[in-house]
Amino acid sequence: MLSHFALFRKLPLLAAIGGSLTLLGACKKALPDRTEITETRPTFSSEAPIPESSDSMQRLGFGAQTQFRWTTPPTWLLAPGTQMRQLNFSFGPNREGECYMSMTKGREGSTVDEISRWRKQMGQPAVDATDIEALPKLDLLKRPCPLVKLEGAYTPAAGMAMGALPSAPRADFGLLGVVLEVPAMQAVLTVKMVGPKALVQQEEANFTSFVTSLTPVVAPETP
Amino acid sequence: MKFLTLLLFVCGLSQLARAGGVDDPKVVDPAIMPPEWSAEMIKAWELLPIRDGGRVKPLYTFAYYELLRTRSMASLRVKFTKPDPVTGKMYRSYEPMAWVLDCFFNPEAAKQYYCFTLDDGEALRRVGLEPHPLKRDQYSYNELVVARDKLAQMQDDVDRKKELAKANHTDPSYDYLDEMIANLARNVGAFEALIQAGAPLRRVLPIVNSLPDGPLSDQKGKSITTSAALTSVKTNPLWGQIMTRYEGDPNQALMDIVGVLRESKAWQTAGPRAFGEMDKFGPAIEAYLTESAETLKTQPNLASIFNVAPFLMLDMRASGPRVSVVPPLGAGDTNWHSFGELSNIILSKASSDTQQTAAMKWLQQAEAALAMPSSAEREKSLIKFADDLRGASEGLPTVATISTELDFRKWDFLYKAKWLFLLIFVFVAVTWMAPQAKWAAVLFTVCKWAMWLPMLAIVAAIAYRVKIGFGAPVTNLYETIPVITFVAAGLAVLAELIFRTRLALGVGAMAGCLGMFLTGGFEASEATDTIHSLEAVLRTGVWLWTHVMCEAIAYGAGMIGGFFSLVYIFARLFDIERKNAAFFKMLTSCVYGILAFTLVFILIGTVLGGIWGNQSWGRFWGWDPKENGALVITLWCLAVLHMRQAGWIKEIGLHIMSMITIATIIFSWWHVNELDVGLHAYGRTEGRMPWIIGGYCAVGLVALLGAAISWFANRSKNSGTPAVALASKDVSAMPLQSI
Amino acid sequence: MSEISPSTSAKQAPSGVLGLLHRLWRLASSVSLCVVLLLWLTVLTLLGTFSQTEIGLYDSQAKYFDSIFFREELWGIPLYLPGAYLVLAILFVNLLLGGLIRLRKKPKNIGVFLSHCSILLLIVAGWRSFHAKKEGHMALLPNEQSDLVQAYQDWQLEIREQGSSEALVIRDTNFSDCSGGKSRTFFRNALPFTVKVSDYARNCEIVEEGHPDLPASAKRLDRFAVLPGKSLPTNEANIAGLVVEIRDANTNDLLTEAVVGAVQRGPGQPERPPLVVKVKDKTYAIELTRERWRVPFQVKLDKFNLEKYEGTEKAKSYQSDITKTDASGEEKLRIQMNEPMRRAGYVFFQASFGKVAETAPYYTVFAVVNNPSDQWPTYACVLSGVGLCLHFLIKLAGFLSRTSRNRAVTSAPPTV
Repeated sequence: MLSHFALFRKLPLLAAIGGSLTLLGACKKALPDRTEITETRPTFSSEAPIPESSDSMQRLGFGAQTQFRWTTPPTWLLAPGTQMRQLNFSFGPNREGECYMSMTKGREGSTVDEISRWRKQMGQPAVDATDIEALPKLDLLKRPCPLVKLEGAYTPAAGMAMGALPSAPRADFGLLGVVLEVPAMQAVLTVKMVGPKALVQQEEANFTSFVTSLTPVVAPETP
Repeated sequence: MKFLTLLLFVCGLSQLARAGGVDDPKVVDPAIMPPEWSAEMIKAWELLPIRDGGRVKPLYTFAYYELLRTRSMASLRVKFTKPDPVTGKMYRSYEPMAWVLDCFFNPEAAKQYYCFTLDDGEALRRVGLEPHPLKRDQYSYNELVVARDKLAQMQDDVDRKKELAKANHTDPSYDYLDEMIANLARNVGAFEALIQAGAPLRRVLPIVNSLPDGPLSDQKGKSITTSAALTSVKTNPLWGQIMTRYEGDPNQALMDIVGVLRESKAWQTAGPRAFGEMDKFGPAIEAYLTESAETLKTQPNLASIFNVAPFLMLDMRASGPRVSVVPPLGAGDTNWHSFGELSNIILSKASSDTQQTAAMKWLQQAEAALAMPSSAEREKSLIKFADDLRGASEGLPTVATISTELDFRKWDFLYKAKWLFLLIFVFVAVTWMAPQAKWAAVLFTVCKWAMWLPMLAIVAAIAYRVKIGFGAPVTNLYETIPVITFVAAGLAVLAELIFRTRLALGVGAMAGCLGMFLTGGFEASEATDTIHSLEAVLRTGVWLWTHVMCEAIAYGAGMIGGFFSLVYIFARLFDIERKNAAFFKMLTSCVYGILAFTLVFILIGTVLGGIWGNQSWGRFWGWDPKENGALVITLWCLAVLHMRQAGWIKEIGLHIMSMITIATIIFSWWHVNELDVGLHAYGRTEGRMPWIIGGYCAVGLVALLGAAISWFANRSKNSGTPAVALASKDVSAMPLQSI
Repeated sequence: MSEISPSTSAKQAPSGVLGLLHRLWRLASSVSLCVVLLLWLTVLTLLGTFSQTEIGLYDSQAKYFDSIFFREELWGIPLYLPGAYLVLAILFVNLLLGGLIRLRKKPKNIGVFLSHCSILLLIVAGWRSFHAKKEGHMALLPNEQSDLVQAYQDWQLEIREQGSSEALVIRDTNFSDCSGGKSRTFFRNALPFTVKVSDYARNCEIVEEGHPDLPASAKRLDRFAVLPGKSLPTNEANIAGLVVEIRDANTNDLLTEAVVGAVQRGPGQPERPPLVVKVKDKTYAIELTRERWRVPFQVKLDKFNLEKYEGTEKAKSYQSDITKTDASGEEKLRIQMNEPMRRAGYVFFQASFGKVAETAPYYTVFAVVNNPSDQWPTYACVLSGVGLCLHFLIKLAGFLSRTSRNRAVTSAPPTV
């Protein structure tokens, strides 16, 4: 019934036992509290040289502290920055409110464009330079800048990821924002706060104090 | 057999009940009804190409799914308060195309048709409306429009909650009534888009009396067409300046101009709340121009733009790209356009002169057609308009299959196959009553040949879809159903040819009929075009033909095997054919063979799927739910066949296992889609889960029944009184005994 | 329902140790064992599928499919059950013994033999690829060139010395248990300091020390701390974080202590400096990052082509035109769906694409795989296809000839 060689009969069984033992041996043991580092990888030519020192804020992605100093309002929390948001805060009971500072460089910046974009996000028509003249002012980097106050349904900018659907508008939102053009640097500096209407109203004083507290570490060229 | 016959009667009765309907209080005064569209008109417009859902298709297809989604069925009957003076009938029946034409060209009447089906009227209370007495009933647009804002808000709310639940991996915090309202809101929105689609053509813009002397002032107190308004804007010297400032984007420019209007006091007091209330535009503009008469006296150019801007903006934005029936406008244009978008093209700096001229030509032709004094002339001109539009698209590669598709839709092969299968089943069942009679033999032969008809109908449907769609028979979940049904019915016919017992043909016809009911039900529940755009990664004919077909063949085989086992278990339960051991033996051979067949295809199909994955994205196996589903079937089939080899199961055991095979197929075919994870997640639908669980329960119940029969049979055999003549002792005679 | 019982065979078998071995042999090669294994695999597959909705694909796979044993709690009782790795290993042995060696070598069994061979080959291919396959991705903007591939999963702590040709690597499996007060110290003789890892979180947010959700036990260093979060079902989206304590290897003096957050690399990700440690004029960078490795050639994206369905945002097809450069020269290629580039053991697949900002150009993403058993499943498929079809046809032919013989004998009318 079985195969013709006696060896044939034992080999598989031995293999089976050996196999099971190997498998059991493969079970992982917990590492000791002191463990030697054994693995290495070659370094890559594209790897940047190591800086002399690194600051925790920059290293952990919290932003542009080398350019600015500020006072964080007590109810706000600093969140990691992104490419578009050099300083990023959140606030509110569920952290649904956000406030961020953006510095976009290399663009022919225009206050009108920026404010019109915000108005569009809140479902309101664009404005022109004369409308902006009429806006109240708030000091940003010691220069009076137009302060925008908007209320309405907020539609965030379309997602950048592929296939992301445009977000649905969120009703009863408030927006506060200031814009500063720095033509010498070809840059536009904005501070924008969005969140549920009531929350934004409640945080308005903090917004003002934050904006006025922003000071450059190295003063930018005067426009 | 009695059971199956009973099942059939229940099915038939429920269909009759649906067709008959109940007394309907929702009636319309026939006086408001527009003249009925002629057959020529409908024919011309059905064939009109429209770009929708990523491809170009006949307008009929679009209309069909619009009505199917709104009304829950693809036809509509408008009932009258008194007999129609023209036809004398108490109702008028609407096919999808006629309904959409009324939405385009007779919107005020269409708003009164009861075409919005709601499964539970209670849901309406949530938006402050009083429901009809009947739980599931139809509503008209005019009934619903009063709660329009609330509907939109509910839809928004549900969408947001859905998004939130998905992001947080929690259950969504709304109930089925909220969901129902959200769907209703979507349907209302789609209906408004249909109404808006024709608006630019039929619109007359009032020129207000307070317009200062200048452009358009000669038309004061009269009305002009959209094309005339566009011409006036284009020739307006101020418009050039505006365009320079807005970098040639008329959409944004008009929006800002209307923004000024909207913020004015005059507009806010006299004006419309929503942009839907167009009839209030005229008075609001009049009020604004009167209010600002002093400033505008010196700027007649600006005033004339103010007069027409709200209408043009509405055309551009609200009629959107939803009904894109105007083909590309000559050189440099690859896009299809809605009538509203024509305004944008005419005003935009980005479009060439030829494009602007062509756009203006279409607009003027349609306006002229609609302005015809008599309805007969109007229809004639509209037929010509549709023919001209179609003529302009001729030669484009994307419209090559339009008439083929219309033929396909009109044939409705699968619907016909459904009733043919049912008919054949009934007749085969009749022949079972008289196995020895001569007439029965004749009838059966007829049925055997007639079985080719529904089978060929399915093949025809699949062939048409391959031609129209993406060159493969199965590209989405819907298309799996006819293919699987065909395989199941085909294998039953094959079994009939081998065993010649009359039973297999009946089972095949029943399976075919059920499959076709499933097809129809699936289409109605989705209510979107079943030929839809394919993910880029799937656009490889070879793999869609091989891997997916193998899987579908295996599903079909497993299903029909389960059906035979169902017959076996019920035959044992009701003690039918007790003396006919050959009958049971035949069923067992049949199921065994089918199971082996299933294994061949599921195994090869699954491995081919892995090879496809390896070819396309470097991953043979990724434990994706759909892959796992196929693996479960493979492992189960292997286990069952080896169980038999090991002697674990004999005759009834095999049938119990074959029932469970159905459960594994339900899991892989339907259930994994509902898990909503993984790469193959192409079909999660709310409300499908109860059906799936019902399927499991039914299969489980039959399997338990089989187990009980087996247990009792063993017990009585042990106690010495054989209850049933079991053929199980003769295992060695089994065909396909080992694999 | 009787099984082929081992006791019947044991009767003929010798007694004692040999008898026991013989029994074991019978069991290991039995069809019954095969059925048990197949049924258990079915259960595992179901468990591993349903659990994906809860814990995600990555964890489900690790728990049920890649494991030797896994832990499951049933009404509070912990059970240790065999995972798919173990089951497949036993199935391999069972199939080898029962399905090949013990199979009766008759012409009519040729199909079965081939099918069993193909399954064995599939199991071996799976095992080989499980242990040896390397996969990752490469994202390129137009005109960008690279030879670096980044893994999708798993983090590792890297220690790189300025000017050195090698960086030290500590994989997260070595410190994945270092949370909740537990820590581990890593050392290497050539390294002048030791690294103690604690407060590891598989998914976390790095927050300011004043964050209200931060537990009192969390270490706050230089204003920041690791706030552990719920692990996400899509493991790729988890962002790890930990705390390191760097001490002098000889004196054990504390050099520095810091919160380290995982660094993501790719288009749209801001550049972040590493943690810098200076010891005896030497500068070291410490980073928590995904594994990266080099392919033996450079790939440059020349052009990315995208076609969408008419009037929609849905992609109809997309391709990347690339230039591959190595010592042997330049090669212009197109990589697209179902048409990968296979070079030097590496396969580049067109996986996806994206944009950093609305106005930015598209970047392309290639999945890069190095799998020594790449084509084995194809051979297995051909083998099993031939084997199964052969067997099915042999059986069907036998059956048909039998029934036609029977039919010739009994000419009675067919009945139900």
